[in-house]
Amino acid sequence: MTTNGSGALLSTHGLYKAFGGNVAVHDVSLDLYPDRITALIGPNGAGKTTLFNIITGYERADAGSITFDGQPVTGMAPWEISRRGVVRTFQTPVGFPTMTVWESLQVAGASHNVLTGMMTNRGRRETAELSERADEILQNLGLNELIDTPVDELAAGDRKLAELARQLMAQPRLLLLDEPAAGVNPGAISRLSELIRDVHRSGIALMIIDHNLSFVLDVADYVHTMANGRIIAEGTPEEIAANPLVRQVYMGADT
Amino acid sequence: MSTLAAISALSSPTFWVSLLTLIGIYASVTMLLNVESGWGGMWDLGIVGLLAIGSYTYTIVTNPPGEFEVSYAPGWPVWAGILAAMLMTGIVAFLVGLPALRARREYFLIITFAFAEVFRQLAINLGDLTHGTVGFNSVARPFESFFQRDALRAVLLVVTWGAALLVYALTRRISRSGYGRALRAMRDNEPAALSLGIRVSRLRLQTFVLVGVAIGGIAPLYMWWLRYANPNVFRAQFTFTAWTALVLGGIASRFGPVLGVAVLLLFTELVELIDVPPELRNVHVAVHPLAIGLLLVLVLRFRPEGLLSERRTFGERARRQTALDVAMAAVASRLRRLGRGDAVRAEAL
Ligand SMILES: Nc1ncnc2c1ncn2[C@@H]1O[C@H](COP(=O)(O)OP(=O)(O)OP(=O)(O)O)[C@@H](O)[C@H]1O
Ligand SMILES: [Mg+2]
Repeated sequence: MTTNGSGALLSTHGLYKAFGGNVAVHDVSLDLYPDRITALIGPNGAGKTTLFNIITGYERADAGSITFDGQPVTGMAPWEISRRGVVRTFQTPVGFPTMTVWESLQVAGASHNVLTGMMTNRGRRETAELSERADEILQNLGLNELIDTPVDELAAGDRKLAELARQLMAQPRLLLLDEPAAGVNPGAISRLSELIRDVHRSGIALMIIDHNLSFVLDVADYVHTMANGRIIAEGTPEEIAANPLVRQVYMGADT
Repeated sequence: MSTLAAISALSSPTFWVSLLTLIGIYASVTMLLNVESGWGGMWDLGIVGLLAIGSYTYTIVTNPPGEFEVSYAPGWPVWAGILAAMLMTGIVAFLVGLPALRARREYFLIITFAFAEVFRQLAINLGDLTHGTVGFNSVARPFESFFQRDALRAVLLVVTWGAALLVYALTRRISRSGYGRALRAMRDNEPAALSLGIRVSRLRLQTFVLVGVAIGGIAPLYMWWLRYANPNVFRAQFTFTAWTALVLGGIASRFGPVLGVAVLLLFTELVELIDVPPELRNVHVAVHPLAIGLLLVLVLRFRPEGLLSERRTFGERARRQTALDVAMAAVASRLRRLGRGDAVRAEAL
């Protein structure tokens, strides 16, 4: 079910967001298809994170609308959007600093309500299910060594992975990753690409922001480029790499 | 107090029964404060306000008609008084929480503190209902017709600790449930909690009301111990004692509140019993709070997280515990299936 019949899972229409006089997102319309890994690139301050924030309900757009799976989701609260299956990671993954990696993976998917969250039988079945799923995800991401490590003691790259693992526990249909490769050591990037492809293959639609162009152009099937709040180019990685406008923007910036 | 008096106090059962009862009451309140503030991150400085609501509700509805010059004295039985207290604190918590929980953490702290004081002022000014500054000098207690004075004290001690055990069981269940993890998650990182579908604002309100209802259930115990109610009883001192005990015992740990209360109240009583010559009596009184401060500083110097800690309550231990739970549940269900199988076979025979 989609509004435009084109098979897009998520569509934004004319999103606009200004902070004071600073226009962070300027008339952004894009369609996101589940069958390809989508990337969003652009220099610092281009508005990429703000766009994620709008889609996931953390910022309210001044204008424009969003549909997910054919339903309007504009202006919904973050928890509501998450429950519909749009889950994001954060550029700076603070996580839950008082918890271990394993514990933070038990947060998602459990009943959070005071009453239902404490019912014995349901709780027990849920506990078994959750810990099984967590073990599997940690295994897949190669994090089993760090299972009992407190989140605030993780190295930057591991913290990114642990955050990915935690958000996967929410069983997203669409996962928005904000700079998953930041802080990951260069030797582990190809492994990260592999993991991300696995996630996509498991049926989760993906959109990735990152500054590491070789990583992005390798993992993505389709790339949107933003600058000054606008989408200035989109296409396959090859097309984007060859696009003079994109090159100019990136030469101008320091990346 | 002379040495003799101090020794006789320490060797008197009444002293210990009374002190242990008070520890049980404070332990329950502090455990509940821990759910709200330790795990939920809602820094509540008005916990005594909820206790006041519960205590007054209980006392007003259970007092025998005609004993005090008040306009409302239905003379309900004790059990109805307890239910009324829980209901009333729940409603008040909801009404206070609705606006207060919208505010940021620092403001929430101030708002709850202010509300507690407002309730105290109300107790003073609604004299028609509360008997004003004089308050009530007697409180209806359960089992009064069955036991002698001292025996009744002992029975109420047991009841108090029964309630504390219930509160502990509740907090233990919370700490191991999805609800408890959601609380700690929203305290640690609200955006991340939201991104996992946790409805943070509702969770806060639910928790505040849950704690309110439970405090309403503890309030009658406090009244049974104290045996009078007036606005002076519900000063912020109560809240500060609970907070001090919480920090001392280890905020956000599970057993810390109980340990903290026990250590703090025992210490306080012992300092009070120290023998001083009459000319130093004033100094003793003045030094008393300092001694408590010193205890706190010393403990936190060597154990910054308190006597117990969140990390030791949860973390790796929580994972192993869960693994054990899951394994035991699996065994239990297999046994049950086996049992059913036998029953079926038996029927077939
Ligand atoms: N909450 C906010 N208040 C004010 N200005 C903001 C806010 N969030 C973002 N901005 C501004 O909006 C613009 C876009 O920021 P955004 O974080 O979306 O960029 P980005 O593309 O994610 O950059 P980076 O690659 O550095 O993460 C910037 O100029 C930024 O300063
Ligand atoms: Mg960004």
